[in-house]
Amino acid sequence: MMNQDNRPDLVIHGSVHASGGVYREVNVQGFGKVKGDVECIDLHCAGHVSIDGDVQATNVKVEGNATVSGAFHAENMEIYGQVDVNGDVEFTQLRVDGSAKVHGSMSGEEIKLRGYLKSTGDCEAELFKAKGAFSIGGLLNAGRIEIHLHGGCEAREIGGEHIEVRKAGNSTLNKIIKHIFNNTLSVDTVEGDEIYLEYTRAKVVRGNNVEIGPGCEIDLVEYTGEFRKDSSSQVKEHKQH
Amino acid sequence: MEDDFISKKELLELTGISYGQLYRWKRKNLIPEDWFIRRSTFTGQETFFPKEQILARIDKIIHMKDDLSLDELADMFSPNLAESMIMLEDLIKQNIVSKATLDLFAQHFGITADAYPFQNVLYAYIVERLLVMGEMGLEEGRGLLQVLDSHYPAFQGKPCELIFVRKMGVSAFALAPRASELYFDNSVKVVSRLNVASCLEELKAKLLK
Repeated sequence: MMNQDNRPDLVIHGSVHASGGVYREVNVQGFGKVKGDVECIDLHCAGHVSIDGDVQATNVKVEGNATVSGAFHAENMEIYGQVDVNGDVEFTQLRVDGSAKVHGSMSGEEIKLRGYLKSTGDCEAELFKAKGAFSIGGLLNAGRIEIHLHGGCEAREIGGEHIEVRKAGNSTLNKIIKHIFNNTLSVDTVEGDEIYLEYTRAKVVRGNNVEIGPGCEIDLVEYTGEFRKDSSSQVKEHKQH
Repeated sequence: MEDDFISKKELLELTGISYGQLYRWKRKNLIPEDWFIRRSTFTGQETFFPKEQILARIDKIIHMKDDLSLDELADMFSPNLAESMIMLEDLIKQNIVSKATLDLFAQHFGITADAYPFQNVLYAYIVERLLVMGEMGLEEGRGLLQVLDSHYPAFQGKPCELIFVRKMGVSAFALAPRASELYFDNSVKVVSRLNVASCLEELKAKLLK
């Protein structure tokens, strides 16, 4: 790796075509097209950037629009605008306040979601905290999953140690939004040690202790420890093992 | 077919681990992604595992997790070759390879260094295993080293199997992707088939001790 002090910066103001490479900071304020893999310490985009290759960065902040055709590796990723990644995404911390679309799998330590997240493949983290909407084509697997439903959420499977799904707070805005959007989680199976669900539609829920709060429609609950159910929810069948 | 696979539910009942543990181990790469096999059953989609492999793996995790952290365990199970260099004297000291194998190894690689990359040590370990099993002679070991050295890197850590055959006293070695079916003519005797990934695990486990 190049000495970090000697790295050049890539600053794009206006419309620029650049080539990939090793940079200290990549700063895009205008419209940039980068051909090739990019390795940098800071990647900041307040404009529009499209990178044709893989990206490896320490800190990433996207306030505008970023498209990456390859894989994206970053330690700290903050997305206030829009990111579209064609490959897999690896991170330590990921914060999505805007929108992130990943046409691959995602893995990292911590995800904080307040906007919209879509991944075609699996999504793995130690902590997954969502106060937004998501669509995960594969398995959402995290040690601790805390979901506050703001908008429609879906995943093929959810698995982890602690899984908690709650309806978002009762503000006026939420009430209005609720009429437009369908604030529920739909998922095939939910499996975990401790499970609490509200407003969830699932085929199977399996866990040690399962509590079904209001607004759920579940075909089958299997549990080993305790099972509780809110009277407003539908559970077709429940079995203790 | 049914005997070779085990459903997730059965697995947890049999081993006594929880969903949370299973998912944590998957996250930590202790259980490879491709062991999670989704199949449709009459109750919908279910996840199955290759029975023998998953049971052996879970047994190992349970027995070793007190001594090693999950990350160390993951490193041990990782099919990617460790980047570390291994001292030859450690191999002898810990009884991992014998003097005879080491001599063969030294002849092949040309003796100069005290330490070798993990990958090369793996070759020595595989030779040692076949020698110890008494199925292979020293001279054949030379050929085996050559096959491993020139072709194993092409697998880039992907699972593969070593096949050792003999036809009318002439031995041959082949490396094939795992679980491939091979057919030989009648005069060929398959002396041994060895899963390279499990050799690698064994070696890592021995080195970690």
